Amino acid sequence: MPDWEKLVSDRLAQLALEERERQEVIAELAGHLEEIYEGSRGKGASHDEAIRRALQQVDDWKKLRQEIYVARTKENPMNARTSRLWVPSFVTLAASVITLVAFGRLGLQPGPLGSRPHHEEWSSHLIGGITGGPHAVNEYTVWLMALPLIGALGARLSRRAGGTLREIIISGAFPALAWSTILLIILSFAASLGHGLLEAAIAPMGPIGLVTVLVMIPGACLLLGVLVYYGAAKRWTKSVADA
Amino acid sequence: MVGSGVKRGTAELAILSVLQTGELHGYEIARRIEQQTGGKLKFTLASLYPLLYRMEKRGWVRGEWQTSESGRRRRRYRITSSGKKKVVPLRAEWSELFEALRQLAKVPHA
Repeated sequence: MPDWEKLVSDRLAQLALEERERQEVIAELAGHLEEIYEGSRGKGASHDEAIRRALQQVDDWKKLRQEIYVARTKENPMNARTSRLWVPSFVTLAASVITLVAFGRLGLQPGPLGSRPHHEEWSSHLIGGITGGPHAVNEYTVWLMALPLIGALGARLSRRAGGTLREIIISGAFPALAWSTILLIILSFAASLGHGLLEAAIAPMGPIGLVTVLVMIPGACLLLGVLVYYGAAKRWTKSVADA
Repeated sequence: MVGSGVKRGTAELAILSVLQTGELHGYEIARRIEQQTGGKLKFTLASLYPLLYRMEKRGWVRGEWQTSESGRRRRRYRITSSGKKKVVPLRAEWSELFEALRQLAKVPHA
């Protein structure tokens, strides 16, 4: 059996892609040639004849190299990962921030993410928002209700660009990931400064409460939107395919 | 109006059509097209992969490495939702081309 990877690698040595991507192309083309070789051998062709048939697949390796390079790099200036992951992620993040600010300006009662009430008010707003108490409708709870739509938007943008399930989920839930990072940075900074800043920052709810309010609950709402959208999109695609 | 990219468009339509039946790797795509068109449409490695990569860049297909039961790693392609949406206009363009050619064939020679 010829070493197809070496054969293709030698012929595509000047393929100017990132090394990992170049190796993937080489492996894929080598696999194709190997299938042709084995198919020919299976039909009774000699070793040399099977190799000849495989190599007939490419008349001009230089031209193929150029075409692959153009196809994988130039046609779409936007990197595939950018369109599947980063653009939907930042759209989701921007939408979540804009809606939070917008709900605050609409005159809704400030919640734990709005203006900074006294410590005891933090918990009453949050508890009210969750349990339906006197502060049930505040910017935070309305914002939480909007988050599934935002998560679904991110999922749709990613899926439309051909994103994998992982990219779709990350795109939809990206704001929660971003806030957890920001929270970590702020708390680390506060801890490094000392003077009781860290304690003051987490005092209203404690570290678990802070993570729950800023990361876990919004993340769950975003994820809900992603999963509902993904399920609906799968069913729709299946019904179109069946039709 | 028939676009200038009809030739490439028909090749793209052939690939999208076979991928609508399920995930396939490159060699299977070429083989399936050849079988289903009675050998009238053939893809070589050189004609198939630049097109597949371009379609993947556009988000019409998505390739993922998988390992078969025999231990072979192959990159299998599936059609994406935007690829499925592209099939309809491509089919229309293809039909338009053949309708135009049929009209031309009906014109008597002077």
